[in-house]
Amino acid sequence: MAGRRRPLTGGAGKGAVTAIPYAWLLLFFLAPFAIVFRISLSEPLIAQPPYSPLFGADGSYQGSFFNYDLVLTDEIYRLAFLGSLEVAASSTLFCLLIGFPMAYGIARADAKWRLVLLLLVVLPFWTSFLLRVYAWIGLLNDTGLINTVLQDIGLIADPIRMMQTQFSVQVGIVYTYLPFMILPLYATLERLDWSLVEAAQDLGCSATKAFWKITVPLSLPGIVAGSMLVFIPAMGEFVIPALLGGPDTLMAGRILWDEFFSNRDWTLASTIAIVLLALLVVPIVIFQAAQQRENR
Amino acid sequence: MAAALEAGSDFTDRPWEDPSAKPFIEFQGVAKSFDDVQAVKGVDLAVYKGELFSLLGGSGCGKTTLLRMLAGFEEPTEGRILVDGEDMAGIPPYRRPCNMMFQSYALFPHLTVEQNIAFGLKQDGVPKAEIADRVGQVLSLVELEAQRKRKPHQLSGGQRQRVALARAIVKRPKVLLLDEPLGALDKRLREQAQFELMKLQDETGVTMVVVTHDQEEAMVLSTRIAVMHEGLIQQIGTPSDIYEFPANRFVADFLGNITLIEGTVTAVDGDVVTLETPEWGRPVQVSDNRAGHRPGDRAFVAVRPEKITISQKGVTPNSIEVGPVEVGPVEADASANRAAGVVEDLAYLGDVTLYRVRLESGLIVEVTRTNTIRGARRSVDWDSAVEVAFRPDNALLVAG
Amino acid sequence: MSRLSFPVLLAIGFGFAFLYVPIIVLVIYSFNESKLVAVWGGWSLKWYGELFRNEQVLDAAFLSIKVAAVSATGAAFLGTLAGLVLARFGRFRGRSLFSGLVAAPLVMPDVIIGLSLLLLFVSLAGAIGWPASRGADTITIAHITLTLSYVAVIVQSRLAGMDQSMEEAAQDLGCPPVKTFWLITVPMLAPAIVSGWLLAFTLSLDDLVIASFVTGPGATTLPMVVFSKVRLGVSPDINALATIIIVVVAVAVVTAVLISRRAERRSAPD
Repeated sequence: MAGRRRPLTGGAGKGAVTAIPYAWLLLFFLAPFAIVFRISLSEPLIAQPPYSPLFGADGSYQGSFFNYDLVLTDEIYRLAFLGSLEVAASSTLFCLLIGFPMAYGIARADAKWRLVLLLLVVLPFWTSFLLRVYAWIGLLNDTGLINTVLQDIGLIADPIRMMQTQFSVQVGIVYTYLPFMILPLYATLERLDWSLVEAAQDLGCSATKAFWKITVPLSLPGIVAGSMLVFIPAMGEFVIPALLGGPDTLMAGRILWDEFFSNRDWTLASTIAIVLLALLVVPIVIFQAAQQRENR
Repeated sequence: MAAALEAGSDFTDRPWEDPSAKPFIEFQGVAKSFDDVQAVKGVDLAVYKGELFSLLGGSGCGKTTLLRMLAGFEEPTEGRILVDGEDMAGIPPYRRPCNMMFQSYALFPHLTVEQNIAFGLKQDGVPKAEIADRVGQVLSLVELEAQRKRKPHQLSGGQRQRVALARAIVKRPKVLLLDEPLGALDKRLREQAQFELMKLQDETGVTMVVVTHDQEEAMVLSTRIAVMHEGLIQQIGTPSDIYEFPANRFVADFLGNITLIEGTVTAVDGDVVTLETPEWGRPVQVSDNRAGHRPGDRAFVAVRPEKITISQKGVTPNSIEVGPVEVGPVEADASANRAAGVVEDLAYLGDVTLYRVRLESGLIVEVTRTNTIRGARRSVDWDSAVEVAFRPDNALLVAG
Repeated sequence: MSRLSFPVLLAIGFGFAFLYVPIIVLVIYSFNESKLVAVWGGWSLKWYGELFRNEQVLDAAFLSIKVAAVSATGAAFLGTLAGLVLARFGRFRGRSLFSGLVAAPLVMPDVIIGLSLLLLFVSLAGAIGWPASRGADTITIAHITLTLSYVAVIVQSRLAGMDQSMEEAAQDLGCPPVKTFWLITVPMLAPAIVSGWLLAFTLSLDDLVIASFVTGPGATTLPMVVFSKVRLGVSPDINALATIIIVVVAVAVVTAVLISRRAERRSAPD
């Protein structure tokens, strides 16, 4: 029977158990964001640390929205954020298109196959992400395997340019994040009561219609969770555009990296981080709401 | 009550009727709230040593909360709980003289049968040799010696239930708590397990408190039953008290089938109450005035289906061609309450046949008749015009 | 698989081909004599030899494994506590902030985590003199922060699926709370803690971005070495490294599955 239970440990022990991870996360996860925000309000300086103080010697407030102005008006940053949005959204859609039939097939496969198939989905995730992205260079290059094979069989005369395009970045993202789409989808589909689909068909729905009217709406929590698990990290992705994208593939994560490591502009990098975070707040909230509904 | 008279002065079987007996477990004005929800609303209850006491009720009636307060998993918001005279307030579950058999059994999956049973003794620092001894004893009691090295997931449902029971009794608790002890078993195993529980009670004499939603289980097992509803105890009594003399409409309805006829009291003559009831169509007499009804009171006449007779209308019972068993004393009794109706539905259940008779007022009267003759032709069938009758001393008056 | 229609089977086939063809090609080309991807120069183990002679790669691999082992252990400890708090402690003041802090690293882009942690370390060094220098220690702290959430989620979901009456039963049988935690909760959580540890280890071993931000001079992890090499294009000794990692992971995962299956079969009710 439901109800609040007597705490399983005493008050003091409970407090300590809570305090240790709480303090860690406050110090190493929440506090850093405050610092990032604070630095985003400064102007870059050639000094150590390389940013202007927030308060002058006389205690006056010296913060400015100089960097935010720059990020929001300068073409290159706008393009980077739009590029991230476009690539993340389209990659999420492709992940869904490839992942849904796979999750559906695995969920409906015989029990003895299910575990094997699921293992095959998860296995690449345990190997190095960096190396899996790298694997695509050898496939997509002008002199890579795909172009060589296509030329050898005479289908094309000149290599198709695939590397260092938006296409190669999308392939990389879909490839690395596909398991994150499949697993939550599988989790909801596996729990789905298939007699509902049979009932719909019994009541006169065609198989296709039953799929759209029953299966898809009931797997919506999985679709939302999977999409957010792909979209959110893809927005800030750095490695994939850096390895597979060209110089013109602008993405937020990449310009943040470049501002920090190449231009040594900590304030601008912080501002990009804050703007990126602001863009991600809505999907993160959607994701957490979906998770909580799932847990209940 | 009638039962008390039969027992005479010997209280050994019925300590609750002995005014000098000391209760073993006592709930005194116990209430429990979870946030805004009052799960238990003030319960007074006394359980005597050696009883097998059942808390019976539907889900959410507060019976499990009551049990969990006794085990120490919840603290009462109000009132106190005493076990063997000792106030349990503030005593954590691991220091209480109670052991519980959980509804889910809660067998530790990483321990063997033997280790599960020994767990509680180890906590008390019982010497190793004694642990082995006592574990061996209960293993043979529940007939699981062959499975002692198995893990819980290697056992059948019935075996798991017995391990859970063994684990709870091996510590020889003052009180054994059982939360839906037979709920997870199928029907055949359940009957067997019921008798095993009763045997265990006989052999060990331990006081047991059982929570159940299954009225049949409560009836078979218990010395006494407390029927609970919405956080309150509706009635406490022996199984037959509760079945034959329900204290109110809820208890009457909760245990078994019953027909309730609403009416207004017109006359009271000693034990015999006469009611005016449009539902029955003519005045009804009931020889039951425990509640002290007065003319003008609203009340319900409650009659169990086996205490009503049914016969074809216009035919004197003697002329119905089914044999003498159908002619009970009721038909001949001039004082019986009679009404005419039509059989709306009947269900052949093997040992009995259940009739649902619709009176002119629309009231449905449920009647059962024992099928004492194999293959007897049914004299009363669908849509038969019938007369139903019951004797005043076979009905009860209950409050609304 | 009779219930699956042809299009679904086709989709599964395509999906797995998409997942595995690049890996298979990578493995095959690690044995290619030629340096060029397009040219097959015959089977050879030469890139493996080159890999094992590359001290930079070996040092980085050693550092990465050390950081991963320490941070996974830290994350397993903190994550188990966090999962326990979320699953078993009910409501308390600050719970929603806490659950938000636990969940956020799961989806937060690593460039943001990396940048913010670096700025924290720089500010702390300026304010209290710690950390005096950045390197393996700061990477370890960063990785614990990143991965403790994964452990917490695994432990929490395991606890949520675990019958709380187990712990109650232990207490009912006379076992005090702290002892109950060690005798009952931890053994039942063990598989979750182990898989959390493995996940944290893998994530730490794999992280390039956060480590690049918070590292200092002298501490170069394996992903940093790999990244600087492959940024310039295909590099066959990296193929060899990838193959080794893939084989180790595949063998480990398949063994783990076989062991747990055999354990299941042996313990199946008869």
